[in-house]
Amino acid sequence: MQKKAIVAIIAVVVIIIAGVAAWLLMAPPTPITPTEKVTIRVLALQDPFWFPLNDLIPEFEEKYGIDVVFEGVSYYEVRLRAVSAFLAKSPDIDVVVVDQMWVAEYADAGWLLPLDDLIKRDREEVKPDDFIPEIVHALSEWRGKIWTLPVAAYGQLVMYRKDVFDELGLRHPPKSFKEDYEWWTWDKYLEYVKTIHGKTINGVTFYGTVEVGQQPAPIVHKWTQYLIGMGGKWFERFPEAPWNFEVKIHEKGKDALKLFLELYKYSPPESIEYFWFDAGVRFGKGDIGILLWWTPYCYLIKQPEYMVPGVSAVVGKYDVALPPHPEGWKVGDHPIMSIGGWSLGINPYSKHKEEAWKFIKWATSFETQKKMGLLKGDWGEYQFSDFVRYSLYKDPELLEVYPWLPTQLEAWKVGNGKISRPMIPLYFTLEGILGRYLNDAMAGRITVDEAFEGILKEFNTALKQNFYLPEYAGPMFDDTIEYVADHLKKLAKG
Amino acid sequence: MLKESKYPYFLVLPSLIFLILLTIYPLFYALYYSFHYWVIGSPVIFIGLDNYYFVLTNPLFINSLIITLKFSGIVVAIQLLLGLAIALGVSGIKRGQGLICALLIMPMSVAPVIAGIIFRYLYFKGTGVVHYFLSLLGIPLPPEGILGNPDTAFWGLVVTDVWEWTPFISLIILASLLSVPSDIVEAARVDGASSVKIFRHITLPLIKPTLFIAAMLRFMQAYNTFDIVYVETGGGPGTTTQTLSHYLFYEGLVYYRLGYASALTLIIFLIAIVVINIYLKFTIFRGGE
Repeated sequence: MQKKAIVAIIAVVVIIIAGVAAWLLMAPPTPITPTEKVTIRVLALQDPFWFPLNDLIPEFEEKYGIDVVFEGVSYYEVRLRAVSAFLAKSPDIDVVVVDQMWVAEYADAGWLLPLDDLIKRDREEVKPDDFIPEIVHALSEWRGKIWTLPVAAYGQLVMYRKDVFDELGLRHPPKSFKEDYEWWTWDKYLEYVKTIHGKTINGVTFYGTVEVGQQPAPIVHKWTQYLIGMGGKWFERFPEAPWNFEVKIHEKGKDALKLFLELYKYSPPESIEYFWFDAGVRFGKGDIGILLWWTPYCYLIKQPEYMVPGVSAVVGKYDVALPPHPEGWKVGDHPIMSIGGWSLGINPYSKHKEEAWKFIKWATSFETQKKMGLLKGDWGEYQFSDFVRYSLYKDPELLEVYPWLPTQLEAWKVGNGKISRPMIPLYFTLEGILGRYLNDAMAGRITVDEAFEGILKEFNTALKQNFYLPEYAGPMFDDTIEYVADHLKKLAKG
Repeated sequence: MLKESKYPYFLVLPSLIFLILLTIYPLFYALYYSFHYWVIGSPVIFIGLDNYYFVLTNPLFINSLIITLKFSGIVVAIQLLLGLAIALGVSGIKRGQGLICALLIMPMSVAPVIAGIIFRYLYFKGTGVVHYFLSLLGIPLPPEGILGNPDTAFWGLVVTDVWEWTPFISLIILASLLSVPSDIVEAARVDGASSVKIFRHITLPLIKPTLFIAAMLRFMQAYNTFDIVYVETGGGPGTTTQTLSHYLFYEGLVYYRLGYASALTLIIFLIAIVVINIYLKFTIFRGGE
């Protein structure tokens, strides 16, 4: 009896010790050791901007005497960590990287510090009128206030094999709206893809293009470029006031999906599984004629794999051009390019808001962004041309390294990130619905009409359940690029 | 019947306290919010049973439930059969049993998400080893690749899960096989029983409780499959591989529809309890054993 009691007690003690040990050993985030120096934590993800910015962190630390823990985690982890910190009102994160579609959600929930007063106060340093308004409109502004500063802006441009075009006698697409651009329509784009497809040039048999099919986000990013490129939109009226969330995505959406499915016929069939970088890597392998994709790929396709040193098969063989547009479209008509990217915001619960603001000003400054563009790190190549300021597009050193910068600059003028992917708190639910149906259509399981029947039904259900329909009851704002341009000028004047 | 004793309860008390804190409290928290409209950043509004209605009438939920039950049933069946075959083979080996067991543990030591990533690359068309060897054998493969085709993506996940967890089943069964009294087996052999008859009439009845428990444990794990779905297919193509856990992840931690996700969590939990109770009633607790 006594022996049993001793065994039982020992067993209980062991279990308690094991439990406590497990709890102690659970890895917390890298602790910030309190010292005399302030240390801030910046939560970001390992998109291309992260790598050169990470290499420059010691410069910031030396200049400002502020230590930085610069984390680069996965896409969903950034959101998970940030939202968990906000819900817990935790000061653990000082600066958070924000995806375009999160700004509205975070701002409405009170999870970002509005930056207007800080920008105005430090306008000599920030130079707000140097930021490109289309980019600020897409990435940083919501309900008339600026909540973040953009650090990396993405448009969608055409990357094409100039050697293949020359071999087949195809006219090179326009790089500027100052040249003859009217002919570069979606019909012409498709015609070129079909012409290239199946041709064998220098021993390589080409696919016309490469699509991206992984759901939900990658396929929606791809398809919404076609949607906005055809003059489509998601809702009756947004972001201009009065907001009306009557669903209109099907009006041009069906044509966009038909085009997408047609292009898929001239893509590697396995691209139905492709994530963002898979398409870029595939283009880099050298058997794709044309790629229409996010602008970071203009430089990423020089590498054999994402952030892997080396030279791809297309270095020196490709060029960059403007995206196609509908027949009869002219500059000044509706936007035709999607805008995405990343910006930096301040956690309102941070205990080091001033230091966090210093970091954001530094990371988005002309000087730092130029250094990021001219840095060759472990990955071995120039690795950043996602510039957010006008002045960077005129810098001769950057123009030499990234010759497509003038095209990229012109393209912002025909872009609108809030039309291609509306920055509303319900965005992710709607993206999930779209992603499923688009992927199903790509897999041949449903037709275009069936896809949109399902999309409309689920969109309407989600919008009604979340009080966007029949009439939006929340506060509205007449959210235009013109307003943002004017607002930035006012902040620059003080 | 078990002999009444205080000691088993005393021994499980710390774990029970832990479980109550980490399971029961969150369960009641989820129950409360399941009756509310709550999307991150928006006010919390009481809506009664609406969330449950939305879940149960959502075709996505029905689809995910079917996929999950189908996946769980298939992988458990395959793993039981394969695991039993491997365990029988290993139990007959006189030398090197320890080394074989150590090798068997290796797939289990790989984190499921890593296994998913590895298999994703193995299945890749053009560069994947699995794709390459299957095509060498003349097996017709879909042009989109194994994970890109609605008919084969599900089976791609099944293979990943079977590779990872069959050793788990085989080790459990092996332990049970090794505890079968050898004198009974010898006696049967002396009486002229064949190996098949010995297995069928002696070994199998004796290891049956172990098989039931192994199947139940594996079912509970497979029912919650998320990681390999997340990294290999993302629930696609379309929704052909979307399991309940994957669906819940998106609703709760991507879309942050927390009220809806709370109701979904409880429904998933209740279904698991019902299925396991029915299973236990017809297997382990059959006849009051």
